[in-house]
Amino acid sequence: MRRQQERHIQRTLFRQRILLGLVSAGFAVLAIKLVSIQLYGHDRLVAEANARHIRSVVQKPVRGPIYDRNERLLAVSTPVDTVWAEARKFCNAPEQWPDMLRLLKLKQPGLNKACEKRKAGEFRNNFMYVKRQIPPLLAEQVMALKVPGVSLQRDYKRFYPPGPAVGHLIGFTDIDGKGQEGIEKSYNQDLQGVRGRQIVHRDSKGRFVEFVEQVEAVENGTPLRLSIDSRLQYLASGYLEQAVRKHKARGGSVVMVYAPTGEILVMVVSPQFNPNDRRTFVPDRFRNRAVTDVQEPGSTIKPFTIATAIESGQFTAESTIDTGEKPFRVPGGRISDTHPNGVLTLENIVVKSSNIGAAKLLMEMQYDGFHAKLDQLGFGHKVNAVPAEVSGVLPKRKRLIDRLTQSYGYGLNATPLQIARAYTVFANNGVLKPLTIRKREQGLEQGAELAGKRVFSEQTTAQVLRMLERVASPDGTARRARIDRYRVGGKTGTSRRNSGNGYEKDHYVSWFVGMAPMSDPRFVLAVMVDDPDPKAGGYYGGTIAGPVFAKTMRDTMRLYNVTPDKLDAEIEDPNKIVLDREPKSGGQI
Amino acid sequence: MQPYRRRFNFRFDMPLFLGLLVLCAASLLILYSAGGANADQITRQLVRIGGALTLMLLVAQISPATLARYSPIIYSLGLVLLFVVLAVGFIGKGAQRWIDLGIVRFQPSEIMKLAVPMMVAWAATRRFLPLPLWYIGVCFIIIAVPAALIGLQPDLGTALLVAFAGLVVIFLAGISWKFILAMLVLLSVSAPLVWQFVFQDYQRRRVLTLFDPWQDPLGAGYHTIQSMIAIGSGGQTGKGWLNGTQAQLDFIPERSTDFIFSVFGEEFGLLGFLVLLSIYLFLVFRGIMIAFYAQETYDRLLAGSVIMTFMFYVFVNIGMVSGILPVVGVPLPLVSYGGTSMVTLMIGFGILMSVQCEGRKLSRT
Repeated sequence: MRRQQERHIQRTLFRQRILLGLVSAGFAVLAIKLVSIQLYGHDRLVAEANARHIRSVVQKPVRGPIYDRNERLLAVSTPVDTVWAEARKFCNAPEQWPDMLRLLKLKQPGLNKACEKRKAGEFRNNFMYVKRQIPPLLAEQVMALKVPGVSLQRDYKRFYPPGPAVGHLIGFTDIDGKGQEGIEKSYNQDLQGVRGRQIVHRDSKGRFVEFVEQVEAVENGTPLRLSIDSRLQYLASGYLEQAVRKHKARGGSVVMVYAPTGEILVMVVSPQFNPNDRRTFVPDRFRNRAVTDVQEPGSTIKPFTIATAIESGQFTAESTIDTGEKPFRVPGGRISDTHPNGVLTLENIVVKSSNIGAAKLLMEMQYDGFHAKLDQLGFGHKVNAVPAEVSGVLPKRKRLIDRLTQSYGYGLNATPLQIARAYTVFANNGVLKPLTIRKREQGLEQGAELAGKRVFSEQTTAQVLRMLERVASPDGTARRARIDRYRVGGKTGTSRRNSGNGYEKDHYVSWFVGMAPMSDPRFVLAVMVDDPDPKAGGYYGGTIAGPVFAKTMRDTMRLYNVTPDKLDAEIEDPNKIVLDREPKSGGQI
Repeated sequence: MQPYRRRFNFRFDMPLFLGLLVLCAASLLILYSAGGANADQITRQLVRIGGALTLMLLVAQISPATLARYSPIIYSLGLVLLFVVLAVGFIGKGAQRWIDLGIVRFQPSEIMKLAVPMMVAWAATRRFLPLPLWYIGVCFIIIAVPAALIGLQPDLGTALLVAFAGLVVIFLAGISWKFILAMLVLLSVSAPLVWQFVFQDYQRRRVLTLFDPWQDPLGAGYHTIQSMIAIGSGGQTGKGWLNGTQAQLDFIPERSTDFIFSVFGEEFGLLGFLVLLSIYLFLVFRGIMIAFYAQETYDRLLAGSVIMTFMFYVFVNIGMVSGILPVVGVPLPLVSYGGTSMVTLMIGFGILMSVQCEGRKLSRT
């Protein structure tokens, strides 16, 4: 018994030593492990630590706004929030969705489908959009619901305050803010700005903790100032739309240019589309038909034929041409007027819009000289002011009949913008100036002359202006283009619609191109109505396009405070009240 | 009776006390950083430290003989409470570890961390040593019953600690090597069975990812990886107090409690955690010394168990954060935030002081 106890004591002493050894070994293991993590893993683990909290963050620039000439917004990027979710958390809690679905007007099946796709991929793609671009206030309500996995991301959505009135011109952006059509597309580089990048510290939930450094500076998009007057744009679009509907036309365009500076004030197209409402988008409607669709200009070319004749020195405004009583026969075809005109002065060729007169006049002239003038006037050349323009064609003809038809606007085609540009020559004393859709620098408007190319002499121009004014007189073809208290001038045009496979029966294009005030013509306005229904009020340019011109020009005169230039005696109804009669030096933009 | 027994004798051990104070100071320092500079948390921890130290000094005044006398009562009380907790948990259909007394909430399993070694030590001293085999069986039952009850809660970490505390006593009491060998064989045979039938899925995953935490960096390996990154990126002297990116940016999970050592390693680096390890080593060596020099068997067994449990805590926690051991919920003793384990540990140190003074007293005679 005693020996057994002795042995036991020995054993416990031994055991104590073992214990001491175990303790020492334990601490040694810990120390070695910790030190080895430090020594061998340090660099890698530092990198791992950095990878966890250092984030390179892309900063989205704000897209530049687009203003009209009076600093009214045509396009602006408004902050919106995009609701997105971590699919892993979000998809496993569908029972918490209902309130959110109601707020966002979403349907559950759509989200279920997205979830199933993520689930099938074992959430390797853990990111999903719930709803993009919603108002920040709504987004706040959604976040208050605390649906698992749901987060917000600041985004910008493009908004177009004038809506349909600017749709074709401005175009629109895609949901990622890249310009897709119109000005948005062509000026995308300037408007979109430059993405910035910065290094920040994030915590484990991805929340921003602190700013470290800016790697690349973010540059917001440059604001763009257009020459457009959104007020006129809106009014003109209304009048055009009215006419298109009344005459059951296929569509139409209105272009107004402020001749002294070549600035485009109005560019409207029908049918419209609303750039704010993607659901209404029909790709066929995006085209800015004022610059992409060409038509034969018809009689609107005649003033240029006359001007070329006068410029040649062979003719004066008083020279006469016998248009005869019957259609004019030429090899290959015949040219006819709507009714026999007999002997006409050059002036009356324009006023009565005689095709035979224009053709016979051209027979007396050099065709090459006439073609060169049209070329100088910009036919067959892009205006280079607006995106997606087409150039139209001005072919040099060989056959006599083909040459003669060009004298009254067939056998060549042009966009409404090109025709407006050609007419600015008359408003600019015979000089053709470059057009622009951007607002010109101020110096120009205060009197500095914009350089241009002379096409006609001042004398010729003055004579043509008189003719144009007579067209809009009570005995001209554009009686309905007249407006109260202002002298206007212009030319009607009615061309047969060419579908590309020859002329269509009973389908026309109605034109009116004119300017005001005639005492100092500055505002040049071209109106084109495509394919009006002859049974719904005719198809003549004066009847269809004239009223659109008159209403738009009337509003322009008022908005720009232009001094009335009609003599009181000429005013047809002197009792009509005109609000602003006080002569002012208005009319300058 | 000898006169010195009557005289009041303040039982106290300066080396232990100083070591504990340094450790508590380190705890407050790192908690301030880990808790996001939360002054409230520091105040609460300070109050707990004060309370626990007071409790320690009070317990130190109880002689080991008294403790031995009350061992069976304390043990039985603990068992009853464990049953109560289990019953409440069963009714409430959920994991239940706490008993709420209104003012204090406490875990009966904490009592068992001390009650089990006390009971085993008491039982072992009922017999002449070495213990006969059947008696060792009795001791095993004393350990197994509470350990099983705690394991059922389920709180595997504490169950293991309680079992460990009891087994240390048996080991120190001197069972034969043949027996230990037999136990080891039994363990290696039963381990696969335990793995298959006792472990829950999440526990198995924890163990598996231990061997390669990078296999599942976002799932089961997440804790270990974040912790190792923190320790490894700390460098020689650390990223500086309040400057650890892993800690301050919320990457380290449970950084005020179980993973506080990672924060320490990241912010104070190699130097910092070696100092911390040294403090622990010092406390453990001092405790082992006290156990060795204890004269009574009960004192020696209890003191040995207390200090080895403490050592076990340190090893498991640091082993866990450095990737040697699987992630089990064991706090870093006296540094992690939280009151329950601190109170138990301090009471343990109180027992050590009491034993130390008992030993000194006897050697004086």
